[in-house]
Amino acid sequence: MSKWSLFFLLVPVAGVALFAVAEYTGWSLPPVQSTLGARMDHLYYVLLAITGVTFIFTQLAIAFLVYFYSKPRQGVQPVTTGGGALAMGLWFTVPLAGFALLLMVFPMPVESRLWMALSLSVGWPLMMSLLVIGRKARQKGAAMYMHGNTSLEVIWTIIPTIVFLGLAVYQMPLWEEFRYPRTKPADVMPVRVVGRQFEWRMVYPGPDGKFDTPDDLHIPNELHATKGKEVWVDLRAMDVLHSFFLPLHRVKQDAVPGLTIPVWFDSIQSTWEYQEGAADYAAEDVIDVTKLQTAVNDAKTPALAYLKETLKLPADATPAAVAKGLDDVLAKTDFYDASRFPDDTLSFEMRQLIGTKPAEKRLRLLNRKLLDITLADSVRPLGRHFDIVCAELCGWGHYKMKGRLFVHDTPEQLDEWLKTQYSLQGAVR
Amino acid sequence: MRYRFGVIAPLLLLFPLGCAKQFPADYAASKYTRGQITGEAGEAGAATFTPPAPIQAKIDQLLHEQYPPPWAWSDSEIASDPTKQSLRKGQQLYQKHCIHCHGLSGAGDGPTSASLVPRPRDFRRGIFKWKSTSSRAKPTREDLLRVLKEGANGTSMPPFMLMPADQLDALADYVVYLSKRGELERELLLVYSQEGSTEEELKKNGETLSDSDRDELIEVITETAEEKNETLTEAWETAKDFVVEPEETDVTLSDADAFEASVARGKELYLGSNSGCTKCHGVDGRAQTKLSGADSLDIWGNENAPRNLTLGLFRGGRRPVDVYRRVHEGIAGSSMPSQGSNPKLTKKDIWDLVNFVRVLPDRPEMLQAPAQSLGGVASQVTPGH
Repeated sequence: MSKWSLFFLLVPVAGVALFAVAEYTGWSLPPVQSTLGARMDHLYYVLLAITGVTFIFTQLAIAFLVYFYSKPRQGVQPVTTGGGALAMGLWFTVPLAGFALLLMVFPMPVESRLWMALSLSVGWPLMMSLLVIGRKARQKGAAMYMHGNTSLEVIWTIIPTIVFLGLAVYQMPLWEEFRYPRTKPADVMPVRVVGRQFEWRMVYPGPDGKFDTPDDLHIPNELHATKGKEVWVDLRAMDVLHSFFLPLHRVKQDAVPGLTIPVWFDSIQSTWEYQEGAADYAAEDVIDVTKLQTAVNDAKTPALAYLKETLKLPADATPAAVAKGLDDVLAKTDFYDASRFPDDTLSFEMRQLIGTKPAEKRLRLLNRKLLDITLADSVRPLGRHFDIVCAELCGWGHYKMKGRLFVHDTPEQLDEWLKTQYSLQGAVR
Repeated sequence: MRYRFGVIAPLLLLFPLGCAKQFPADYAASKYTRGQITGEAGEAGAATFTPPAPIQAKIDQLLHEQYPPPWAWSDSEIASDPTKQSLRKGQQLYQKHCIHCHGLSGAGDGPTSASLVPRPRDFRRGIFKWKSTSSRAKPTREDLLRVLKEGANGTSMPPFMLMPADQLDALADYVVYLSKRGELERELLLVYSQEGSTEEELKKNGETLSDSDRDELIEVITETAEEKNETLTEAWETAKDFVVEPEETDVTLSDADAFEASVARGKELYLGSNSGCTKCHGVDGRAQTKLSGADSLDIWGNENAPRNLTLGLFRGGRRPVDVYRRVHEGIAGSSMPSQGSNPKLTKKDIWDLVNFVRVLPDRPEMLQAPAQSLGGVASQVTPGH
């Protein structure tokens, strides 16, 4: 029996290991993008630490008890007799070494992690209780039988109460700041977000600064903001319950028909900064090497002609090698200055990206985006954005109610965008 | 043990088989009644109009030659053909995002369509409502892209704002492809319906299709197919020439007084008898009316529902120019008439109406609900919600 306790101990060990490696394998929370979100993450990690530590020590204690108090089978030398000190020593060192080793476990899909966590939290305590109860039933005298111990009950009531109350008080300022904000900055741009199957309709008040006038600006699925500035959203729903969810900003708020619910958040990074961080090519960005080779060899545009010169693609090029080559090109070339792209192929945002001339530091991103256009279908486009989804799972998956938050670098850029939209929206011809 | 095996083995077999539906070899033939083809009022519950087998086979063959299903093309076949590549791409995207409402052949009969009000567009008529062109013309490519990007607010058509431009292009191409195919099919059936009877009708009358008749009909149909195809291609290509460009309005929002005066004039026009707006949209603008007679159904056979103008849901776009085009050209396929051809209204009058309609959702009190109105749900809905 005692050896089995070690075997079953592997289950909580694996559970903890999954959480430990999650940070390093990208299974954990996505990078936080708002100041309140950073504090929410902090709360999450505090809770994780408290529950994690409690979990580890409880599990070790249970296994420990089972190991030492189980009665050996007849004719088998009892494990605990004699060598108690050595066994005890191992008990305190091996689990620690085990945790360290498990930090190097290979990545696995998120779904399996969730399922394992679920089965662990339900299955393991159940199994352990059965083991202990079963042992007690068969081996009288091996463990002490206790019924009702007032001091113990007081202890295990008071300690969690203190912990929970402490947490409640600790998180209150954050909750208050998010839910009951008292100071709304004077220069904040109001925006109304209306959920409807299947779109998020962003309504800006228009040049007159007032809602519900004919110059209101309606933009489906695209919310615009400025880096470092607060966005105050009047959240509404038209038909059913929706849930306005910005995963990276840690904002999630239900939208209820008939109610206007205020939500606010800010953005630490602009969209360009966020994308710049992932502009490099990786092997998985190369969708089809053969297609890419054909495109480069045919060289129908100046950009592809340049690639043909610089990017020597062997006939048996691997995606990794191609990615490496493209990455070098990103770093060395300024595609735009070489006027390898006609302007009319570029979107408004691309022109803005080119227009901001501290573009030196965004050169990598710009090159990457221009290459994405040139090599369409053979490399994966850089689709990294601040997503807005409906957490009520509206539509098919999240797709139909997926929007995006576009964060500009400066207020001037946002104004420019708004101006363009106003003139489009007011079109009389 | 044997019982358990008997249950589990078939279940296990399902795994490799999967439950994916196989694509048919070609688009399904449309099921029209004779009345639907000729446009005459047919009897209710009329049978599907199916020409005799040799004729139907010829129609299928002609359609297949002109508009083969892109999913059936082999990879090598499309490798050197950019048009086919684009259509294949469009078809694949259509399959992912559109087919569940608009159906395999664009008939608006996908599995979701039954639960939608209004029903998804049936492309086969070649009639599109939300366009910048005159009411009989095809929409321009920009019109299709606009509806794709912004959706049709107030319907179940979602906006595909975030879809990359190349994908939107491919989808627009494929929608035109489906529309042309559907229109050609209708035309061929129409030609036959004028000349011949269905298999059933022949049987009932104890007649048979003689070989000479058959050959003659096939010839007529083949000729029609060629002609119609040319007309269709031209109609789509020249759509740009039919864009309705309003004369620029002299009233803008920045001139508040003039704008308010325009809105007031628009209200008078709306309520007046010259425009006839209240006939369907009601004196309260809530359109709590039920159309009767020829107006009750639109060209697709769905109920004609005049818009509640106080809701602020502009299906064809909310820009002033969009509303102008709706009022000026009417809505193709529905009973919304063209005010542009109304001799009692000037262009300036139409702009006044447009300004009034654009303001109405924000000031629903401008139109009083009539006394006998139940003050129903519509009047309680706050605009913008």
